[in-house]
Amino acid sequence: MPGHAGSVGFDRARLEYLRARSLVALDAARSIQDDDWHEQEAMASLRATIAFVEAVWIPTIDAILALDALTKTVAGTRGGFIEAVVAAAGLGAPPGSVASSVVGLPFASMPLADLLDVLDEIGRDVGPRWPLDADDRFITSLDGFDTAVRAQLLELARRTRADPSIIDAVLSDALGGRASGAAELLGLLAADGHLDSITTLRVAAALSVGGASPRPTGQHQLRHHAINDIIRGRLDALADTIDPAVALDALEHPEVRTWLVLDSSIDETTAAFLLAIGIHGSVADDPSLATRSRDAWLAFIDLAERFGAERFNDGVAEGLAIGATVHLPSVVVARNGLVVDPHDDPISYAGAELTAEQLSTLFGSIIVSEPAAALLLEFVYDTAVDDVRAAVAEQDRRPRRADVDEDSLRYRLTSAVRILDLVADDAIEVQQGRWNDIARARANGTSDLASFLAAAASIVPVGGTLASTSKSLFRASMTAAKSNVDGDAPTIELADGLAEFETQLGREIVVSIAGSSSLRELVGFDQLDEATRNALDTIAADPPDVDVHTLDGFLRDLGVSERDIGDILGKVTELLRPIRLELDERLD
Amino acid sequence: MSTALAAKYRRRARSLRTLADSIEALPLMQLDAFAGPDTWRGPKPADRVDRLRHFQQRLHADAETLRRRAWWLDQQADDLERTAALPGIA
Repeated sequence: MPGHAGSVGFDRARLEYLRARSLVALDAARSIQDDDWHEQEAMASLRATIAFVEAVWIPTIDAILALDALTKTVAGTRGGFIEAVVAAAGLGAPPGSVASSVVGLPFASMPLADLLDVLDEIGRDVGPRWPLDADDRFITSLDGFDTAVRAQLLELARRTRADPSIIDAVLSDALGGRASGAAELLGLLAADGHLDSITTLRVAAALSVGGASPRPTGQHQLRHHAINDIIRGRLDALADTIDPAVALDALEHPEVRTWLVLDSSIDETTAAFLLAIGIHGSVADDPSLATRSRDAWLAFIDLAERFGAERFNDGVAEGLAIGATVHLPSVVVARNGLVVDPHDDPISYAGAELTAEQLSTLFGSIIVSEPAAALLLEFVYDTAVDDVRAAVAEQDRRPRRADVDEDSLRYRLTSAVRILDLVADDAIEVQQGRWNDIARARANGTSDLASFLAAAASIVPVGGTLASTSKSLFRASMTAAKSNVDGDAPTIELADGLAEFETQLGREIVVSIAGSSSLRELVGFDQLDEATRNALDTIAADPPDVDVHTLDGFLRDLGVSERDIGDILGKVTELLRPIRLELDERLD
Repeated sequence: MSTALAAKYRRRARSLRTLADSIEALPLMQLDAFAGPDTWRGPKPADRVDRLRHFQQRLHADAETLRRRAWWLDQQADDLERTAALPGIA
C-alpha cells in the first residue's frame, strides 16, 4: 500500500489480483447459471450478484487502475505559469503594473476580500500576457518571488488551511465561469506544496473551468490559451506531488470531478470517461510524457470544439458519450495507423501489454453505464454505419484496398461492435425500455443498423466475443442484417424479432397455465395452498397479459407464496424450453 | 405411485442441497477476503465491499432456504413411504 497516511489508498498489485479473482469468481457463478437451475429466488440472487460484480465491482477496480495509470502517465515538468506569474509579480513586470503596486501591502492584516482582490488583479494581469516572450522567462521557482508577493501568497495559503471555506469562496468565482486570478495563484501555491493535495486538485478544478469557457477571441483567446496551458501544467504538477491514493479519494470531491469534466453536477461515469480520454494519450507511440499529456488534453479540447462548449455545460453527458464513441474506436485502439491484429498482437498500454480486446473491454467498462449506455449505442450505430458505408464505397471503387486501410477499418468495426455489445448488455439489463425504443426506431425507420451489422459481420469475426446477455438480441440483428443484404425482405426485424420472442414466451406461459392439467400435475396442484390454487384457477379462467418477467409479480399479487411462485416459474421454464430452442433456431 | 413420488422428492432434495453447496462454494463468496484495506481503502471501496457482502449474505440466505426446502421434501418423502408401507396401501 502506498505510504499515504490518509483514509484512502490502494495497492496496485493487490488490486490487480482482486480483479483477476473477481473474473474467476464471475466465471464460476455463470457456470451455475448455465446449469439451468430453476430455483428462481436463488438464481435471481445469483444474477443480481453477477450483475453487481460486472457492472459495479469490476468497473470500480478498473476506474481506480485507470486513474492510477493516468496520474503516472501525465507526470512531467512543471508548466510555465509559475514563470509568468513571477515575471508579472514584479521582477519582470513593467513599471506601474498591478503586480508591482502590491509590494509592501500589509497582507497578514488585510481582510480576506481585499487580499483576494489583489490576487485577482495579479492573475488578471498575467493571463492576457500569456504566452510571454522568451525574454520574460527568467525566473523558474517561487524562491525568486518578490518578497511581498510571496508573503501575500503564503498568507492566503495559511488562511486557506485554517478555514477550508475560504477556498470555496475563491473557487466559486472560478467555477461560476471566470477563472479568477486568485484561483490561479492558489494553483501556484498548490504546485509549490503550500496547499494540501486535495486543495491542489480543487484548484485545478477551477482552472479547468476557465479553460473550457466558450471559444474566446482577442485578449480572451490569449487568456484561453493561458488557462489551457495552466491546466496542463497543473496536471503535471499534480502528478509530481500527489500520491495516486490521494487522487483516488479526490474523485469523491465534486470540485475534482469538475476538474475532470467541467461540470460539478457530472456523474461518476462521465468523470471516468474523461479519465479514459486522458489515458488515451498513453497509447501514443511517442514515449514523451509531455506529448502524452498534450495529446490527452488536445483530445479533450477537440471534443469541446467538435461538439460545442454548450454540450459540456448543459449536455455534458451526451457530449462526452458522443466523444467516447468517436475517439475510442479510432483513436485509442488504432492510433495513428497503428496496425495490430485485434485478437493476437498486444498493444503497449499504460505500461502493460494488452490485447485490443482487453483494451476495448477496459474502456468499455469505464464508459459504459446506465446514463451513457443508450447514447453510446445510438452514436456507435451512427458512426459505424458511416464507416461501413464509406468502406463499402471504397471497396467498390478499389477492389483491393491497401492492407492498412483494411486493418484500420477492422479495428474500428471491432471496437464499435464490442462497445455496441457492452452497451447492449447494459441497455438490456438496465434500460430495457430505452434500448427497445432505439432499436425499434432504427429497425422501423431504416435498415441501416442491419446493414451495419451485416457489414461488420462480414469483416470482423465478432461471433465469439458477444456477451451472453446480448446474444439473442444480436442474433435477431444478424438475421435482419443477412436478410437485408441478400436483398430479401427481412424475415425478422430487430425489434419485431425481440417482441415476437417475448410475446411467444408470455403467450405460452398463459396457455400452459390456462390449460393447466399438465402444469397442475407438475406443480402438484393438490398440495398447493389454497391461495395458490385459487390463483391458478383465476389464471385459467381469464388468462392475464403477462410474460416471463411479470408473471411472478402477478402471482404474488394473487397471494401465492414465494415458495410456490418459485416452483411454478421453474416448471413453466421447463415447459418453455422447447420454445426457446425453437426461437433460437429461427434466429440462427 | 407414492413410492415413486417419494423418490422424486428425494431426488429433488438432493438437487437442492447440491445447489446450496455449489452457491456457498462459489469464489464470489470469498471475494471480500481479497478486498480488505491492504488492497484498497476509502469511501468507495468501503461501499463496494459492503454491497458485495450484502449480496453474499443474500446468497447464504438463499442456500439456507434451499436446504430447508430439501429437508421439507425429505419429510414429505418419509411420510409417503410410511403411508405406502401401511397394510392395505398399495
